[in-house]
Amino acid sequence: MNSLPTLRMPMIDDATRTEVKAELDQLAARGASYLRRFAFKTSLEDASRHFFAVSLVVPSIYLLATLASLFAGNNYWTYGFGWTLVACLLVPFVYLALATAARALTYRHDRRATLALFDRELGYRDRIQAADEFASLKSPSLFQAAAVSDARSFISQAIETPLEPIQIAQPKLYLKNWHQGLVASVLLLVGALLTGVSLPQAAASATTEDADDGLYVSAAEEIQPKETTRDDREKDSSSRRADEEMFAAYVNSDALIFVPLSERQEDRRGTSNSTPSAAGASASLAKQSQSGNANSEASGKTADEFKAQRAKKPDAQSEEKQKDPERRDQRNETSAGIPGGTGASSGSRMSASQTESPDNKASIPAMEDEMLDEAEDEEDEEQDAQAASKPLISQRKAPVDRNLSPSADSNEENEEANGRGGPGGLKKTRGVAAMLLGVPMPDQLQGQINQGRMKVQRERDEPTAKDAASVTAEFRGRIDQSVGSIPHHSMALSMQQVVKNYFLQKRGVVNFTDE
Amino acid sequence: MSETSNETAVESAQAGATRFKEVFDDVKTEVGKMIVGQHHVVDGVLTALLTGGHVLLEGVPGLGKTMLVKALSDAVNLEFSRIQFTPDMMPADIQGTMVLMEAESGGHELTFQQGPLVANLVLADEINRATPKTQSALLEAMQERQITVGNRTLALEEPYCVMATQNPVEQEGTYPLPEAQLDRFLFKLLVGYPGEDEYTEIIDRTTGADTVEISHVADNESILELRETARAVAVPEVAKTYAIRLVIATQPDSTYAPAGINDYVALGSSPRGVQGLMLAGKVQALLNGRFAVSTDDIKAVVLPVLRHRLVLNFQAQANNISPDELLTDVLGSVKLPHSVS
Repeated sequence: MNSLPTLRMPMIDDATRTEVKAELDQLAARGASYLRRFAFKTSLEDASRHFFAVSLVVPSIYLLATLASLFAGNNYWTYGFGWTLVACLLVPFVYLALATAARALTYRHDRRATLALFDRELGYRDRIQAADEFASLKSPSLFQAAAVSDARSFISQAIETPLEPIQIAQPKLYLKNWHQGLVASVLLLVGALLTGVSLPQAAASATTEDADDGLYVSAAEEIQPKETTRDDREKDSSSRRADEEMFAAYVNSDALIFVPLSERQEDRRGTSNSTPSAAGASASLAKQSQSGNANSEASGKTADEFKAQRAKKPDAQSEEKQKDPERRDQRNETSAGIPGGTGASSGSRMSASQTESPDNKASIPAMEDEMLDEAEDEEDEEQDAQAASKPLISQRKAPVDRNLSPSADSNEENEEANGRGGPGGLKKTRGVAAMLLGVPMPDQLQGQINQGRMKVQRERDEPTAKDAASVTAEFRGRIDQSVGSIPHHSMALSMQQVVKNYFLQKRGVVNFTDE
Repeated sequence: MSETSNETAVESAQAGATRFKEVFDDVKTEVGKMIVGQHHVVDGVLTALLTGGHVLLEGVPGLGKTMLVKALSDAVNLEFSRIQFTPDMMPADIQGTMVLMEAESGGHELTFQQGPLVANLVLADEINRATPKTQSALLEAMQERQITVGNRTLALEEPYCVMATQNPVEQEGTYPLPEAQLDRFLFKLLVGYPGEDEYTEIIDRTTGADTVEISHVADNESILELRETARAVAVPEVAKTYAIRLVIATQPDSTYAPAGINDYVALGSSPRGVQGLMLAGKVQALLNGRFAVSTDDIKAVVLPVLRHRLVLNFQAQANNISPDELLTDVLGSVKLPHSVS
């Protein structure tokens, strides 16, 4: 057996070390250039992933600027469509170039990574990395020196072997991202179309939508360009007035009231303490509901009040149902534009009824009634379901204690305890309660298994006599074989004593036991 | 240092490595006379013996686990003892106890009667049948290579190796090994069924008139020498880093842990895991004719070294996830150091 030389003695001479280091430096330089190309390739691939996403930037800004210009009246996008199109096409490519260059230039390679590249690519099992590490040690061990020596042939081989060239292909434009390019085109198109819309019309429509009460601020006039003629302005104002009338009807439709604008203006000017319905007649839908409620409050029962009454007095439902025809009449009236409705119908419906023909006017209230009845029925069902799911507090019962043994406070047994762990009828089939033998556990399956369909058929038949050979007991012979074990039930000791005493008394023998 | 001395040193290392491989192959050949197939198991058992580790062999009955250990003890000519673990076995039954003996002077004195644990190669057959108390008696012997009975501590002679077997199927009346003891085993080797060709060989060898004789190809000293050779193998930074990352990756919520480990592992490998990886990797390097451990050597021994060090949670058991699947996941997710892709 060869004994190993002492470890940690210098095993690599300086000349060898220098040679190995020079070879490794050469390899590292080759690896570094390879890795730079690799970094460029990966940077290009990564950047191309976001190519289409970046293409969305300019169209999005363009569209937003166009919209802002339409609403605000200022021109926020001063470039022409041609320049916009050029920017849309150019920006992704600029991004691609900049991102790739930035990543490739900032890439810093490690010497170990460059050498590891040869180990992995050429299958040298980390020999080159180990040699690089061990060659720089001042006093390598025996096996470290042997590893360096072993690696030298592999290093030479690696220097001569070219690495597989990295193919830098065209940037791959991922198909799954093409929809982003499509979106960018659509945004650009929409922006271009919007640019063609005249500002006055847009501003007027915006003002109609944004009005917050019956009084219009003449914002449209402010936005209106100076070129418009006086006739146009008159036309606009008349059309605006018509819009205002319609808008007032729309706002008050919850209460099924049509309030002309003139009256609304008077209300607003004259009475500051008027009902909140007037103040609440704003453009927003939220305010619509508020105003509707307020109006209905003024006219009679609100829907909420009605619901609350129903909830409080379930018995009164029959009375309410009796009153239904009356209420239906009321609704018919309100839907025809008479104040005092319940405020349950929607504004759109009201506005429609204003413009509908008389025939339609008759049919719409009927539909409303049906819908109202359905809604009431649903409410009833919901209330019933809630009542069923929530037990009454008065019916609540404290769970029975599972502990069958006497408690620590008293030595008496817990009479209420049945091991069931709760007020339920059945004993639990798991846990400690199930293991207590003293507590019977009822069968969970009650009744019997269905035996299936049975058919009983009875037939009348006369009994007939049959001949049978009589056997005399004497000729039966005896049993030669063993008859087997005959069960013998031994009596209890007390019974044996009773029998014994009986026969002893019968024979006149003194019963010693009794004495 | 001159070129000649450098060459001498390298030649010396090469001679040590060659000697290691020769002995390894000789022992394997001798064991192969008795055991058909199961090459990875034989390699694992031999690796553990040559690195000073212990082995846990798991397999269904009849696969030759006990025979393998007996054959190995014959081949390396080590003192062998076998302990058949039973539920009523006590620590004193395996460690030894104080016995009242008659002295030469005519009086009586308490003398220590050593148990079967005092040997070079201990076969702990069906180790999971013993109670945790008795299993714990092995802990000191496996880690510190000594046993303590009363106030007496007995150092165990090197090479010392515990080779335990357990049956994964019969779980009734068994006591799963505690984590502390599992961690002390270098390898957990799964003994599987032989292949079709191997069955033919088994029939020919075991049902014929010929008897197999195993010759001694190594001894205590040579085993210790080979252990020294194995420990001298150089470990570059790349192999160390990779082994460390693998062990950290088995620990849930760690930096390198993949999703599978986070989901299914309750407890990852301890630092003993990285020690085991490195020692076993060194043997792999020698067997592959290299003087330094590579990441491939580490990869080759990950499963037997780490599979018994993972404590799986309930989710893993419910989903029938095995440690080998999780370790394969770890191997796939942990990148090699200094890799660029």
